[in-house]
Parts: sequence; structure tokens; C-alpha cells
Amino acid sequence: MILRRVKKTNREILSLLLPIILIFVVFNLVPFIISFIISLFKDFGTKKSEFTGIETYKFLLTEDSYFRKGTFATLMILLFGVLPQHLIALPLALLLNNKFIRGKNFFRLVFFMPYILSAVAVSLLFMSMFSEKSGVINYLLNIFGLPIIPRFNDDAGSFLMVMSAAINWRNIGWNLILYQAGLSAIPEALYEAADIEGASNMTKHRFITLPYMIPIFFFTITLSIVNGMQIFDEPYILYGGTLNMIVGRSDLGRPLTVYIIWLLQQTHRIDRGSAVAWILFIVILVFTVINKKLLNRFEK
Amino acid sequence: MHKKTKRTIFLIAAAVILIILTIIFLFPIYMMTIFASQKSPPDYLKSSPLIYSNDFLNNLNKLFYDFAFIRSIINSIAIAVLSTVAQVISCTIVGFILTKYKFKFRNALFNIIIATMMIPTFVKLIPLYQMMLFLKWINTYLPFIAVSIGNPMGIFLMKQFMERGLPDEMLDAGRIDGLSIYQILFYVVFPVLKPAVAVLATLGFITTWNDYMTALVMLPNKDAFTIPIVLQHMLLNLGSSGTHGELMMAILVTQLPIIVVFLFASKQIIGNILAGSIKS
Repeated sequence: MILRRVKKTNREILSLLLPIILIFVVFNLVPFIISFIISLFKDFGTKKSEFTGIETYKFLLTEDSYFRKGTFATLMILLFGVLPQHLIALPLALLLNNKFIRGKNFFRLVFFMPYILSAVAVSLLFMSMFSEKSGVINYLLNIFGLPIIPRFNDDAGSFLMVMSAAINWRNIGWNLILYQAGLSAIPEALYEAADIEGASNMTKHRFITLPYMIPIFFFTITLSIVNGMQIFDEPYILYGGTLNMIVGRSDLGRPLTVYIIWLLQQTHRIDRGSAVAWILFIVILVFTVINKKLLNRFEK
Repeated sequence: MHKKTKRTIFLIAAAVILIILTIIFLFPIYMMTIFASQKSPPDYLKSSPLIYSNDFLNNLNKLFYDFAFIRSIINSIAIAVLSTVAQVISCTIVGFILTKYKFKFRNALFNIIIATMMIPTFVKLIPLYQMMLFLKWINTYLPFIAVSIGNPMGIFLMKQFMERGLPDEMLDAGRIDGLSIYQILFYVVFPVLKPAVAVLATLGFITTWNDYMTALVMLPNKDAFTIPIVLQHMLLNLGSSGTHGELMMAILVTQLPIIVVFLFASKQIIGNILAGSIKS
């Protein structure tokens, strides 16, 4: 296009593009494909390697109690760590969308900031805040005469609360921004027309905002599900690493992502780890595809 | 008149809600600094844990004599800088070629690159670990650099910037002056796209700085630990060698730079995180 000395240019382009693409393929695409192959073999890469086919998948889905518990923990994270993000972010976006409210950029800044912090640091911070004897949350609850939160190492409910609080705090701002982007796409003219007709605020929300927001809600929630199923740092940190898996403690601290790392680091069952990863990946892929479909629909 | 009172009530309610939410949202950040000023948090039945205590400098001092922590800072900076540089250079080159040159399979290549964004890290991690074991790259910075070369999100963002901010005339001028593609990249593309490069570099740096899962798998050796790993170890060592105040000071020291960068570049950071993760 801009260079017409075609032959020489082609060689130059290739000399730049090829090494990068090659490295990308080797360190990103190859591992992705190999992980599926690993899941089909026992002791892949060693001399006693043996083809097992879908045996590992069968074992995980029917017999493995760790896999079952991991799935449950992942679902719990989605329910308590992901869903509340939307219950707060969507009304907040609607509120901030009101033209009489000032300082929108300030609020955007405040609510989004946690998203860029390290999930590890945030988890440690929330652990301290929710600590039983010296935690500041229990101090505040005590002042207001509310029941205190028990030690989260022993209590599954507290564990879920601390983990969800940390996840929600970090991600609400992210969803807020998505909803705000969606709201700003609603043509202003529609509201103006409704004003001329003398429509009430409720009517405007019911007939203008709502029809626009429903696809955006589904888009945002599928994106959150995709990200929520990949959450690793918070449960891993609160659970205290993978060593505790044998000891017990709350099952909620080891969703499937943590289970994968446990299988790799503690039991070296890479076939099972890869199979778990692929099962989770397929589920994520389904939601990703739905998500992209939704995006395409309202980009038209 | 009636409508006006209704609006006033609404605005007051909205203000109250927003102020309460702001306080809740800033509270953990506030507590981060308070915790960092305490040796250990006091028993709340005896004294208030909300108030600044006077161990701030003490904690800071202790932290900077903590060899493991200092080493982790060096490791984290090295890994973040090296992989960010690798990412920025490679993504600029690929983005440039994909935007400004026409060749067979160009769109196919771009679509494949974008599709790989859907692959989560955990799917690749086990084989990647085996590969790094084979290459003897475990406990080095190399796995992070290798993985960040040709990062799809970076390519996508650079391509977007170039479609808007890199006019063909500028490249033609360079070509007429007899510059090779390498010279055009170095003398035209990078300088013109400085703001885009800065944004991509900031995002890449923050991502690597915060990365935990990959570091956990690739860096099992104490000498190679990055900040998040050391933070977790400080937690496990509470009561034996470390104090709570020191841990919280470590969190403050490692998160504050990110907060400061964010405050200065929030618009670009928010906009590009948004673009990179939904438009793919």
C-alpha cells in the first residue's frame, strides 16, 4: 500500500513479523493445544506414558469429590462474589447518569481505583479488616450493637463473606464503567421526545432505559461470569495456599482454578490438572461466545 | 414548584447514597495506611483500631531491612519492566504491519490473534511450566518476557491507536526520504505514537506487577519471588518472624505507586482497559 517496492518490502515485513508470531505461537498457542493432549495421557512426556482417552474426564466428572467441591466453590464465587457487583453497579450507574449530579469523574475515580490494585494485596487487607479479635469491621459492628463476624478460618460463612467482599470491592467499579458506557449510548433525543410528551421519570425508565439496558445487562453479566470463573488470587490467599487442601478447612477456598494449581504443585497429576482446565475452559468459552454475540447485536 | 421539591429530595437522597458509598469504597485504602502505622492491630474491645498509631516509621524502617522484601521488589521491577518493553515493542511492530500493509491472510492473522484473547492463563499454565522446566527457565525472568511477546490485547490496542493517529502521509514522507521499514518504525511510528506507547506500557506494567498465578508456578525459588508471593509468605510468617504492621506497610508501599499512576492517568487507563477487554 504505502510501499510499492513490493519484493523488498515483503522480505522486510516477514523479517519483523515472523519472529514475533513464532514466539507467540510457541509460548501461547502450543501450550494451549498441548494441555488438551496432556489431559488424554497418563504421565505424558515420560517413558511410561499411556493413552487414557477420556478416562480422566470421566473420573473428574463422576468420581472426584475435589472436583465436585471445586465446582461448588466456583459457583459460590459467582453467586456471592460476582452477582452483587451488578446489584450495586447497575443502580449506581443509573444514579450517576442523572444530569443533575455533579462530580461524576470523581466518583468514577473512587469506584474504579480498587480494580487496578493487586488482588493479593487486597485479599490480605480484607483479611486484616475482617479479623475476629482485632478487625476493624467487628469493631464497627460492635459499636452499632450488631453480632460480630466469627473467625473466617473456621467458619464457612465468614470465609465466603471476606472473599466476596474483597472480590466485589475490586470489581464494582469495572462494571460501573461498563454500564455507564451502555447508558451513554442511549440517544438523548429519546428522552427529550418523552419530555415533550410529558412522560414521568418512571415511564421514561420503563420505556427507554430498560429496553436499552437489558442487552447491556446480559453482556456485562456474561463477561463477569467469564472473569469470575477465572478468579484465583482471592480464594488462594484466603485459603492460605494449596498445602491446606489436605488439612481441610472451608471447601469454599478452592474453586477449580485453585484445584488446577494444587494438582500441578502438590500431586503432579498434570493429566488431571489439564483436564480440569479444559472442562472449565469449555464452560468459559460458551459464555464468551454468548458475550460476543450480544456485543455484535448492539453494535448494529 | 412541586416538581422542584421532588427533585431536591431526590438530589439529597442521591448525595447521601453517593457519600456513603464513597466512604465505604475509600475505607479499605484508609485502613491500609492506618494498619501500616500500627505494630499490630489493637484488640477492639480495648481501644479503637481506626486511629493512626505511631509505628509508621518503625514499620517502614523494618521493611527496608527485610532482605526478602527488597529482593522481591527488585525482581518485580525487573520482570515488569522487561516484559513490558518486550510487549510494547512487539505489539507496536505487529500492530503497525497489520494496520498499514496489505498482504494475504492479513485479516485471518488478526482474527486468530484476537481469538486467542479468549484463552485463559490457567489453560496454558501446565504445559508452559513443563516447557520452562525443559528450557531450564524456571526461576528466571524469561518465562514472563516470552509470554508477553505478541500479547493479543497489546496488538489490538496498538492497532486501534494507529488507525486513528498514524496518517499514511507521514509514512509516505518517510518512505520518500528513503527510510527502511525499521527506520520508519524507529523514527516515525514510535515517536508519533508516544502517548499510545505510554498507555500500553502502563497497563502492561500494572498487569505484570500484580500477576500472581504465573509467578507462583514459574518462580518456586526464594531468590526469584515477586512481591505478591512475598506478601503471602509474610502472612504465613506472622507471629514468627514478621509483624502485622510490616505486612501492611509492604502492601502500602507496593500499591501506592499504582494508585499515584492511576490518579494521573485514570482517563487513559480506564478507557483502554475497557476497549481492550470488550471490543476484542
